[in-house]
Amino acid sequence: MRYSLAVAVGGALGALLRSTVGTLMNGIPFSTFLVNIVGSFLLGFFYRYIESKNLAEWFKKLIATGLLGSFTTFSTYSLDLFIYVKAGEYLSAFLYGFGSVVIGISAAVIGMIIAKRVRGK
Amino acid sequence: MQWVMIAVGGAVGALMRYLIALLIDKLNVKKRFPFATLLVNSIGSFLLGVGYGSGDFGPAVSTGFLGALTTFSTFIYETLELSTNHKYLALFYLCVSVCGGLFMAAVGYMLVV
Repeated sequence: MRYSLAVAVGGALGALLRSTVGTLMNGIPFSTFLVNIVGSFLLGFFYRYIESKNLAEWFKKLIATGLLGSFTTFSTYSLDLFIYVKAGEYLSAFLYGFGSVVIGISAAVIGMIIAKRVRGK
Repeated sequence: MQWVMIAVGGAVGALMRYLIALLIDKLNVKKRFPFATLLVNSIGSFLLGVGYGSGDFGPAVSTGFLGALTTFSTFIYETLELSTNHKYLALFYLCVSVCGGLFMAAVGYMLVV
């Protein structure tokens, strides 16, 4: 419970950023896809980068749990999948569902590798 | 003032996700499986399905609260962490999360339509 404020502040910022990306990409689909991939990359980078650093716990919670947790979203991803399935667009559902996960995992791994390089290990 | 509403929704959503994780961590002593994220992602997907079916909850709840209650980055990170020692459990977590999210969104939608 100690880090509630940090998580809430990060969560507010993350949701605002996600909403801003959505507004900027108005008309262009896949804004949820974009934030999820970018957020996965950044979380992988952040967790690896701070491993050897002595950062305050509240700061880690603010960035990882609050900001990046809230910047990315799972509910819209699920709903988008359902909308494809409901419309009978099974190939789109499969590509979007599978693609988000595979590219998200790849992005996180790349983030981790870059963090290790930057850290100098 | 819509951005204020989204920020407030996002703060509450992230806070609930955090508190649920704390609660689950107390019950799930071995911490082998990320139940907390699976739970918030399933609940959030269900509720967004309800919102979609009932004619939108508005940005404060949909984009703010439910967007922040659920998380994709943590889900991906946990899958990776799990895969280092428990490959099949990681694959299971991935499939249950994605199929479960789709299923819960469908159930939420069908309940109100």
